Amino acid sequence: MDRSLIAVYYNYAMHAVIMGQYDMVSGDVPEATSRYIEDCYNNKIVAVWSEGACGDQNPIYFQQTFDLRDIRIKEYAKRGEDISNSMPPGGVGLDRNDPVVKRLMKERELINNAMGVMLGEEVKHVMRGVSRPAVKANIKAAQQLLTFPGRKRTNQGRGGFEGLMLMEILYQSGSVFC
Amino acid sequence: MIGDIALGTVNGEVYNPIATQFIKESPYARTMMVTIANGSANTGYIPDDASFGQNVFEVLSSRLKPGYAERGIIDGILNLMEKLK
Repeated sequence: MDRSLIAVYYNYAMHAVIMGQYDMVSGDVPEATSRYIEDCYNNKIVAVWSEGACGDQNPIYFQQTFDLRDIRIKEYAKRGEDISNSMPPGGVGLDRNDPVVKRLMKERELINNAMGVMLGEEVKHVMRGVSRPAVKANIKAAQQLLTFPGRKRTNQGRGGFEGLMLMEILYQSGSVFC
Repeated sequence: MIGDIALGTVNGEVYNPIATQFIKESPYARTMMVTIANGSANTGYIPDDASFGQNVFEVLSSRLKPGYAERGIIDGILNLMEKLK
């Protein structure tokens, strides 16, 4: 029986938001990590990122997102629009030919790849320590839809002050699976 | 379940303390929580009960009433695990 490795499924809880300014599509850190792991194995295996519970987990380093955001805020302010407590989508407000913007975008790529390498190495480290390789495993699954009381927000703004909420007017659902 | 490895999944963006508590209560030594999986809930972010007081974007934009989702999700998955035994 061929016992060679075919895949690694790893779980990490972090928002994939290093590259995000809503003006490009990127695989971000998951892509950088999986690509790095797969490269290390000569692309003979598949490395699958699964998203952990990241609701409150941003990347530890993403200063450039704040710096680029400040540039956008200033650019919008020149046109009389205050976006300091909102996040309008689209690449508006960033001149990609501006040397500062260029440098920040480049830094972002470096950090994205660096985090991919660090996390990829950690995955490889855990893989080395797998002590009980299973040849056969039964797969079982079940799913259930859950519904919880909801609320509706009536004011605006990203944060820093209290949200005004209407309670008990709607229900929100999601599902859990095991 | 893959053998004795438990993957508890939720189709929303779950706050980390919910996963930490779930892993603590899981009867399986190797348990992980997978989120934003198998569809997309209309809840917005899913904070743990203790985090609901924070005035941050993720909490303010959550469409959930505080006090229900944390226990609901953990018990929901534990019940499914029990059923699959």
